[in-house]
Amino acid sequence: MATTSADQQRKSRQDAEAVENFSKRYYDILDTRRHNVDKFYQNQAKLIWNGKEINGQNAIANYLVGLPPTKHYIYALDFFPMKDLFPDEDTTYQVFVSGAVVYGSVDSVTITKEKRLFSHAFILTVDNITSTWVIVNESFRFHE
Amino acid sequence: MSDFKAIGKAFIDYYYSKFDAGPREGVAALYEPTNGMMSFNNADFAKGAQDIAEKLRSLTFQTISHTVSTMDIQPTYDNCILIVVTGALKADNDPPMQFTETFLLRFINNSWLVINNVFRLILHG
Repeated sequence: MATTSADQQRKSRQDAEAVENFSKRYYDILDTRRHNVDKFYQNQAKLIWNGKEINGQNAIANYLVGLPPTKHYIYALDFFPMKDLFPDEDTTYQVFVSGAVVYGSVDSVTITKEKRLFSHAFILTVDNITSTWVIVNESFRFHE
Repeated sequence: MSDFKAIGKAFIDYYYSKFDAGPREGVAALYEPTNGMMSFNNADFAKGAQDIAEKLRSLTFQTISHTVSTMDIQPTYDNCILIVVTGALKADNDPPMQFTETFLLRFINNSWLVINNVFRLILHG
């Protein structure tokens, strides 16, 4: 499939917007509508959450839904296309986020709301069945 | 690929011990020679073993020591291995700094080589 340089540039820009939008929506969903988080994962996705390995979209969604309420703060977001590394993966990106998260609901005034620094790395792709952006591999770690 | 964790751990242990023992540009040999990529804090990158060796040589510290705190190892596309490391490093007499580093490994010509490496210092917001 021959694409012109202009086509490629447009695709890069569109992908960049899509990746940024996905990432922001992801944290927003975690904070406000976490029951929908399953849609952000590919069926066979893999997550390692502070060392705990969780496999598959349903298991991951169940695990995340079970965590306390959150508010995430994003300090930095970077991403790299992976198609040079995986030539068949035209729309796959490695995304890196550093930020902080506060656990506990807004009502629980007795809980100290400390911000926990985290690093979040994930591989994002367009699912070939649903045509939506989904997480394939993911690592989430606190820094303490 | 049931032994990807063992492969990943062995690779990381070897990579940092080689890096710390010096000369640090020796780790360039662990990268895919032509297309292996290394990037730092999203500001700088090097591609190919030669470029990577030069980049490492040009860094200004003399001694360095990495201490790995965590390693997350997963299989990914195309039988590759994704490793996310967090830890601390101490360069010369500077205070220790926290870092996170991600490696993507592929099995090429009988060894596991880095096809992509992303290094970030953790600067507390």
